Amino acid sequence: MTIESKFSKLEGEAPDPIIKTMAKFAADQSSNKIDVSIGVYKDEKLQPYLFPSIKKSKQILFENDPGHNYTSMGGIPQFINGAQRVIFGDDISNIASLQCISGTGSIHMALVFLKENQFINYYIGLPTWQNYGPMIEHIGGKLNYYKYYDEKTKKIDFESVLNTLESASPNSIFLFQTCCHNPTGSDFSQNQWTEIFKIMKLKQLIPIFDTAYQGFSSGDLTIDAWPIRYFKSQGLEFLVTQSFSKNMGLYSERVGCLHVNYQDETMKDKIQSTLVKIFRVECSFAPAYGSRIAINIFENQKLYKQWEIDISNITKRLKGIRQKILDKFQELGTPGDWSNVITQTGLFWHSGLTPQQNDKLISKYNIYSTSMGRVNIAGLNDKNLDYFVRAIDDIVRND
Amino acid sequence: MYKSQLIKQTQKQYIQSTRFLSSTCQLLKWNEIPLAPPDKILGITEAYINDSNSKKINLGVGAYRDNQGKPIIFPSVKRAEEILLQKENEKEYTPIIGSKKFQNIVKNFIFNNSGKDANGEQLIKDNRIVTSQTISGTGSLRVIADFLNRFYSNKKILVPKPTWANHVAVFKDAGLDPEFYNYYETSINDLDFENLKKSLINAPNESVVLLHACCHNPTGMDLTSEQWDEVLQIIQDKKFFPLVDMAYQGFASGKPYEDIYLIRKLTKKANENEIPTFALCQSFAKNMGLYGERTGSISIITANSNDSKAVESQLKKLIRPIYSSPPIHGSKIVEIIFEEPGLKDQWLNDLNKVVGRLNTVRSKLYEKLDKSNYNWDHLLKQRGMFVYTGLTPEQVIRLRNEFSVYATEDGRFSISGINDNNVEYLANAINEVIKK
Repeated sequence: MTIESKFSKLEGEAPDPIIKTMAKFAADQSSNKIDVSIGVYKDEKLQPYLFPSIKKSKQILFENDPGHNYTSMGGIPQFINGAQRVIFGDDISNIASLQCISGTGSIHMALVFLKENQFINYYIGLPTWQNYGPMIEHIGGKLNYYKYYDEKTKKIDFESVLNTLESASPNSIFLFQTCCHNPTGSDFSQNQWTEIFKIMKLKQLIPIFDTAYQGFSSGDLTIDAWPIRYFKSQGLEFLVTQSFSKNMGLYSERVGCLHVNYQDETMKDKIQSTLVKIFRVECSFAPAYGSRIAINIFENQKLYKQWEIDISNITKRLKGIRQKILDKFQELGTPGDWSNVITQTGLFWHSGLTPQQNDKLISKYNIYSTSMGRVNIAGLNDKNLDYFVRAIDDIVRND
Repeated sequence: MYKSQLIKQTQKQYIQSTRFLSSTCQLLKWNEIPLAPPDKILGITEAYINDSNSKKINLGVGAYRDNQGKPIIFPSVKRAEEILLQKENEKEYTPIIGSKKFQNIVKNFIFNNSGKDANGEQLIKDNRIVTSQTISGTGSLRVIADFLNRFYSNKKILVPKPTWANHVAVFKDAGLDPEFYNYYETSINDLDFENLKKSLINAPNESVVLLHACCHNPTGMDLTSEQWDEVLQIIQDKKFFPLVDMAYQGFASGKPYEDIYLIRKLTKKANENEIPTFALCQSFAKNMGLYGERTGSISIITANSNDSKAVESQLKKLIRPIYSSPPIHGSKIVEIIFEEPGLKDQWLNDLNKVVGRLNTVRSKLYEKLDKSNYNWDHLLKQRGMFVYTGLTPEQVIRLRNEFSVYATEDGRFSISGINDNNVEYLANAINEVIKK
């Protein structure tokens, strides 16, 4: 019997392309297959990596079990305090924060918060993480795109960035990535941030610093937070969306935080109460477990030190692979300039390969990256690196 | 509730109207944001914490406390965590709508009643149930509200009067249009079933209607099986879309299976295509004590498997820009409890004990209350975590000021805050404030 459904007008949505790529990879029987697609760190054996500091913290949490009671709606205070210090260092004045559902959840709440104040005009540099667009559309924001990265020069198109900043109307929001830009791995230099700051201040623009990979650029949390601390020291209101998915490896525990930096001290209660109010009608509380693992790290000096070492070790491994890739290209004499593999930072290398070349990498060599040429460096090790570079060499020569 | 919503509306308009006048000065950028009203329950907790009276009692929070007034960890949950600690070696992303395992557990546990509901089993077999893990109860309500706002023909959502305060706030914020239907009458301390039916019949066809599966929050007063039959007939005739909120499964009888005869009736009606579609929000916050871990789900029952495919893909599209994927610690505990031999029975036993204590303390309070001044029979009809006393705001405030007994002004008492050590004190305090 067919009946009229209330949802029969619904059309299905195609799944995220990366999901398709991952499914294809899983079904691939080749022993040479390489997964460099999704943004998750793998160790030198290409296995999922549990940070030693996190493992220890889990054990401590289990032994000193605080239970699962409701926390507080703004987040667990010790977590908020620790998260603020990771981003801002010692100066955590004039910051209102909300514990959120990791990176996406923090960005979403940032957009909702700004919308409360009628700020909905967004600027996004391309290429970028593909969830930004849908997130802004979801809250009814207005999307403007500009060119961030120039495929020809394989560098940030800084002129395009400056021109866009100059032309934006007051209270427009620029969604920046603090470090390890996804997907290009190309970040602004300190000089460039300084120039950006000047225009933003003059034009009354609002930056959001999306911070998903703090520590993965330089290996040092403080150095990677430089742009945020610079903006704060210069006196500009801005938001930070912070995730511990990557730099604590807590992906599925959904640990993150939104920070609002304000100038006028008297605003604190208004901003904080607004953050709680907008979260109350979406989630009520952020999940406790992952943030408690983070609290143990924040509050135990030895563990914090270990965590810093863990991050530094990860970065060392990533930088080492990058150098080996470049060395290999030079050894093979692969046509083209491949030096951006070592100037780019973090998990990703923006290879510059075309979608066709990337398809060929899959069909001919069983190497799975994203179609835009984003390679997760952590999918490589001493065993498969040679095969990987030779494959690209072949595809570039025989295109 | 509506009053405060209206205030919010006015403030929003105010923002809009001043927007163009606002200073362009960067320093004043956030100044247009109004101070949001504090959450009432949290305010009460704060006042409670600051009270130095050693006899103080907190009846504000909807979380379980044991007979010593302490929060508990269910032993079955602790055991599951021990197993998890041993076997978990990474924390990579779970899919947008949660793991298949978690989805299947929820489907089987709730709709198939763990193998005891032939109608539910058929719905599962026919691929007519789409389940997604969510950020506990609030998150599931928010996702379904956003979903209905996008894809359902009608924005009107009928909610019982009274209902959980956050229901109205969540639905409004998502763009739906909440309207009360009659439910409880404080002057008689009882369900007002005649007016309940009348107000539903008078509501526009194809409205969404919110039903509390059991342990109605805040009144604790549920419909009988026969009353549900009548209401479901109205829902069927009016082509309403039922949205079931089930926060307290197990808290009425101590047995999760016995508490959800509304679901049994709905799976039957769905299977017979009398009420072909409905949705259910559910969480393990209360019945596993997983409050802070934010473990819950939304299930949408569709008319056929084709619709299910579309609904599932749209749910993913909806959730991805809000929070990408759900937190796993709580959902893995649920998975282990349902998978590990013996653990589920232990959990059912844990839950039964918790509910047993609440029921005992409910009877003890009833015994000690002065019935010469006030009819307290409703106490014994109400079920779950709450006593909806019917006390006036003035009486509640007197309890707070004179006796350090903290509760919300609607007269809802969370009985988990009552135990052998304070029940007498509490009863005496109540007896004082109702004295004529």
